[in-house]
Amino acid sequence: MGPERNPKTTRLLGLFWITRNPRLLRAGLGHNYAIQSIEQRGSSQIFNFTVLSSRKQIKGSMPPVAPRSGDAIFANVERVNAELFTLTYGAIVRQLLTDLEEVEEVNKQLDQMGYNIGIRLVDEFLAKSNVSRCVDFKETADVIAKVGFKMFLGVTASVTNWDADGTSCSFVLEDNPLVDFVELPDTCQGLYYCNILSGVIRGALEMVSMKTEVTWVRDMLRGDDAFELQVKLLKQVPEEYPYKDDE
Amino acid sequence: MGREVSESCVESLLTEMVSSYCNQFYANKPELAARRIEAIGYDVGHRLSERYTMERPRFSDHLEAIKFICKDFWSELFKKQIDNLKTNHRGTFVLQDNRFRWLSRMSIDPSPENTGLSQDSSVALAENKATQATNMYLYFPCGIIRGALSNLGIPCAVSADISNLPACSFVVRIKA
Amino acid sequence: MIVCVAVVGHQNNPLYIQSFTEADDALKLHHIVHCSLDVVDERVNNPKKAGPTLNETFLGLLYPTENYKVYGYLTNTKVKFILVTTDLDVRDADVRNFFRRFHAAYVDAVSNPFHVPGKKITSRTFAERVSTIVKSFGLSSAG
Repeated sequence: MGPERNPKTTRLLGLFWITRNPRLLRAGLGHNYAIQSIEQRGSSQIFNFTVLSSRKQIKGSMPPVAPRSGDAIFANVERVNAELFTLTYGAIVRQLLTDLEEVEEVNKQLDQMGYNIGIRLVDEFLAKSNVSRCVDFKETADVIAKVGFKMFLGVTASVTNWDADGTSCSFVLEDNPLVDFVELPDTCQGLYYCNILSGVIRGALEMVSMKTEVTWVRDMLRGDDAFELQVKLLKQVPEEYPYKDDE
Repeated sequence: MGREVSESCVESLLTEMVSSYCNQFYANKPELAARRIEAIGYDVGHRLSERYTMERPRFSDHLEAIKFICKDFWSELFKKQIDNLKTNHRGTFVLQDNRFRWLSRMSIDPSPENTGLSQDSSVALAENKATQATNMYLYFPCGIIRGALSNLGIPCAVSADISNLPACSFVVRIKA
Repeated sequence: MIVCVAVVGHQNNPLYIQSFTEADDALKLHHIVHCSLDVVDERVNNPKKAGPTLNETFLGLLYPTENYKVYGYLTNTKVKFILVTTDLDVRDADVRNFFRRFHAAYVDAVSNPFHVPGKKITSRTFAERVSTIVKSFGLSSAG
């Protein structure tokens, strides 16, 4: 039994973000659902579900859910001491430097780890922020900067340096808990210490159908006055779902 | 109140770290993966103990240091204390957390939703894999405890026991 | 005026030592720091004369010489901080305040993932912070 093909269901499907762990399956727009079955088709898993209620149906009795501000979400999420996060990340980077030896390999590994985190975090991001599906890259970038950074790292990024056709911009961070206490030694000058962040952004954007390239422009650990990540939109696939229909 | 980040940040990072070492670098050498994960925890514990003992008198014996781990140190990390501390008075301490936060948020318990996934055997296999992953994951907090105690002048070995989930016991054996 | 500060590891290995004098007396100051380590060990092992509180990190005046006063501090992780000053009239509260801030700077320095525990502290940030703390020593506004 595959997912139903009527237009309404298909449209709804677009609002679901599916993670690797079926129990983490979440609705992006406040839909309640029940999983009926999960089937394996080739390398893809098909989730069959019933929508129990959606925002549309309950609109009459409740005011529409407005997107929440980053501050409001951060105030409500479970939080931990940043020190634990900062020191754990630092210990991982140092262990990777020992195990992988080449700084370039460590950069790649951090980016890959970030990517894996990004494709999972997008889930929590959509569920907690009440952000409706962003229509264009510009809007998406704004939401990531104002809500995304805040709700996870507790800091706000600004979006600058838009190019003329609106496909490239920069996230600028003046405060970044990853680098509290960190001073790069001379032997690690090629290291992009925060490279996990570029991976997270790339992974999260890919889950909302935006293929991007993320590169560091400024790095406070290298003496710059801020962190600046340039995000270039390579390809946008508006209705691509994270699994394939093979009929 | 110090700086904070969302708990998801720490959890994602730990999950990804464990997965990198177990599935990518040392997929066929779990004991090497375990050693690396423990080493990362040790480093974190070593540095954290430096921070969290600031502005407090020095501990006069091992028990005082262990109690510090159970109360203040654990509270800084998990916003709760260790629930039960036992000792045989010969250098072994058992620190039990009735609901260890890093496990209670992980999906290791079998759930009815998963039963539709496929045959029983592969579910059992998946559970077995999940248990292995959990054991790998636990090398990290074990390392944290060992790192913290060793920086306080107490060399020891630390292991974890999860036979009573969601409770988790950390067994600290002090080296003579 | 503070003329020298030092951080010494639990095996009496020097982790950081910095003098703040124009004169060429670094060697003499290093010698004073070195001698103070024995006093610290003695204080800690024979706590009966250790001052008001048992096991307090602040060890107080270790010994006065003709020209200097030497103060000590021992962290829970068995790291020693030594302070050498030429001031004759030193307030206890100022010295405690100094060590409190110095300890915080030390903890941040060893939290740098690239600092290897037990190795010398080479951080520039730490050196700058220490210099600021040293300059503000004894000023009533110091927080």
